[in-house]
Amino acid sequence: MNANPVEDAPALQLEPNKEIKSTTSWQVLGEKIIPGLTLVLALSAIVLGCLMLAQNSFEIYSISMLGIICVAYQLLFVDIYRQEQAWKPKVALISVFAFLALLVLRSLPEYITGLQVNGVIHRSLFSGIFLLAIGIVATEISIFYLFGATPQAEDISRYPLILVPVAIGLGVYIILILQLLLKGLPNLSWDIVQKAYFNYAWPIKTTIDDGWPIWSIELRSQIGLANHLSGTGLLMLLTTLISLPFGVGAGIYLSEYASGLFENIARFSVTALRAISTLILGMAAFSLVNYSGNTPLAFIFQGNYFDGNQWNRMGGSFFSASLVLSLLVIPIIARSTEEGCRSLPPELREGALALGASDQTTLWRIVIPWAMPNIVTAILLGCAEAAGSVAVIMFISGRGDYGVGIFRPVTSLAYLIFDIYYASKSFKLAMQPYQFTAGVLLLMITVGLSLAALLIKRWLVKRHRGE
Amino acid sequence: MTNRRIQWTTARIVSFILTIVPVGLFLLVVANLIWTSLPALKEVGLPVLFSTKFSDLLSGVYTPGEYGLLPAVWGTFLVAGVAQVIAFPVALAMSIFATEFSVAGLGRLMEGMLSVFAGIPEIIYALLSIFVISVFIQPKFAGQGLSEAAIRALPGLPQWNAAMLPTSQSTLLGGILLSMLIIPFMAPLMMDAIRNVPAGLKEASLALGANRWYTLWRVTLPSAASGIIAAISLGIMKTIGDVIISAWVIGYVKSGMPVPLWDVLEAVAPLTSTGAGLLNGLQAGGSSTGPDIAVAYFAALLILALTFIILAAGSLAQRYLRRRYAR
Repeated sequence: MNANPVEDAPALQLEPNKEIKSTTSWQVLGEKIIPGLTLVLALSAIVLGCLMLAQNSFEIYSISMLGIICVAYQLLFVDIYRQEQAWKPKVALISVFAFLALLVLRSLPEYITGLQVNGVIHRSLFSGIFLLAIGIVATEISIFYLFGATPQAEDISRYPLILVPVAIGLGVYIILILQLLLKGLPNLSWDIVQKAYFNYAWPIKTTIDDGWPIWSIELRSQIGLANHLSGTGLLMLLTTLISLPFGVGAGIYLSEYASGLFENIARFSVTALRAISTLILGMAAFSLVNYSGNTPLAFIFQGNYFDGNQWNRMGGSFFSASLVLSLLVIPIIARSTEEGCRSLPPELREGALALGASDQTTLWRIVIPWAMPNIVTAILLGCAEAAGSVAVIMFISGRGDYGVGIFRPVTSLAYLIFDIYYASKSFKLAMQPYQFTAGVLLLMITVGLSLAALLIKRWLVKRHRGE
Repeated sequence: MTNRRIQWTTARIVSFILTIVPVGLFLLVVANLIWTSLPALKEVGLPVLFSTKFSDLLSGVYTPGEYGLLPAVWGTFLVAGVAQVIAFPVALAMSIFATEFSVAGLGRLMEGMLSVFAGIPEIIYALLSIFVISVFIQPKFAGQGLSEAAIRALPGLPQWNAAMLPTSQSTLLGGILLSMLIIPFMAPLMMDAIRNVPAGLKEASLALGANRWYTLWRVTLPSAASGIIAAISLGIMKTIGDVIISAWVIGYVKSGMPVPLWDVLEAVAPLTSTGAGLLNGLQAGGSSTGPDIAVAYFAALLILALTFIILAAGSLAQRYLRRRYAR
């Protein structure tokens, strides 16, 4: 009744031209030699394209490189026909595109204008982009045929498409940071870190015989980063102290007790505080300092300093700066604490409750220790945020002449870097050499904190959760 | 029993109070923003606020009272677009590299590096702009090595002269640095999205004979699309909310729309830096007076509105994609 499907299937026929060849290693080498050579060419085109984007002078090699690629991929085109008895138009297209790019580059002048843009575009930008694009596609094709034109070879051939952007991206980061270190480290010395910057007229009171005071003015100035460095430290400390209870409390509330309309409002606020522009927080700081005006609170929110004669006010105090900065840090701690509390396995909580522990005891003994790695990490990341944030304090900061204290005018390394760029001439002349040094110090602080967060989280998770 | 009840409510009340403080402060910040920006509507008026003319101290023809924010809004869109064009392919390639196409554990190393880069503050990137200018912008776009006369002799330079070429400030430079700022935030989100795709989907695709690349392109990325959209909206929000990089490398003021509109080599100051400049008193030469502060707060209000629009659009797109590629 039922015919056997195997018998129904047509008999397998060997095509006459697909005989099994006895391949020697020499023949394999002969098949691989032209894809291999084109692969080397395509890789060097990628390298040359990157070099062209970095240096204008490499531009002279672009036309010859494109010409060589054009010829080489025609050779590959013929070689693939020899091996597979089929024309592959993709390979020929590479050669055509290389030739077109060659023609375009040959006809362009060295400096290109008139594209309705306000710039003089150098030809090397175009040749670099052309070489990179053609190089990446050509590498893919060469790898594809080098590994035998199978689906697995296609997987391998896609690596350059992914690796080249990753390498260029990471390379740009690393090169720029190395440049910063090279420029900033030579000026970094123990001396500059220890001395505080000041530049002001210091009134000196002398009395002549009748007891009449005579005032004279002494100009005092010194260059250093001590105030800015300790200001950054104080900012981190105050911000952490203010935001820790609120952040942890909000995180515990959101994960344990929150419900209803207020949960939605609180969640939205925590999300929005991270999403909104730091300019808005900076404006909040501006309002806080300026509208506290002549109220009794002015002493808390405005920066106070004693110039030898009387108390003056300038900008905002460290306290008001860290108050506003804590709005930036609270969401970090809250989000992280909530995450930590939610990751608690329900068996642990149920076990504690079953043994008769109260909710509060469970909270203090089980939930918070479990969330501890997250809290510590969030504190470190929040410190880095407070150290690096300029926009929040840029409208209320001072130059750092008047010492560091909770009610002194706020300043920090990050603001110093920004300030040097826009400052008046004398300040700029004095501090310009130390702009990059301040940058290196800030980079060390923030990168150190985020590295410490990574390592401490791993260590604490192992210790507290036994994972 | 009563004791436990009281303890439970104590913890609840304390954490509720601790939560209500930041929430209240946030609402206070927004209320203060709206309240302070109201005089801008009264004294300047909406037609002026949404005109294209903004009084520019540097241009020489300073006319007070021109507060057109339209160039700044356009500048915000332009710089966000440039940053996305650069950041999205790189972040996507990084996330694919870390998850599906890693080479010998280098993906994990890259993840660690990205989490360190994410901790670098904006001001450092602004400082790095000096090197980007000297290595990339000046040789490529400003005719480095050419004399002023030689540049002036080149045909077809529109409206600006050689001295105004984009040596230190341009939207393109801002886009490059902002993309450096957002890549370390976008890539990990995309990695999470790709990792959260159910293994069964991928395995089914591989078992049907598709290779890894086809699986990635047709199965993994479409079902990770909602996470990728979330990463893009986060990137756009960080870009339009940034102050320091924009102020440093794009500048505070743009008095009219760029010609042509997409000219990224002009410096089209975005809303954030315009607001910061007004509040710093750049327009009034020293200290901000009159409606300057109100207009600055109005600019910040516009950024807040834009942020919420992008937040909402991102979550709508995520919901649509999640329904389309329902798991």
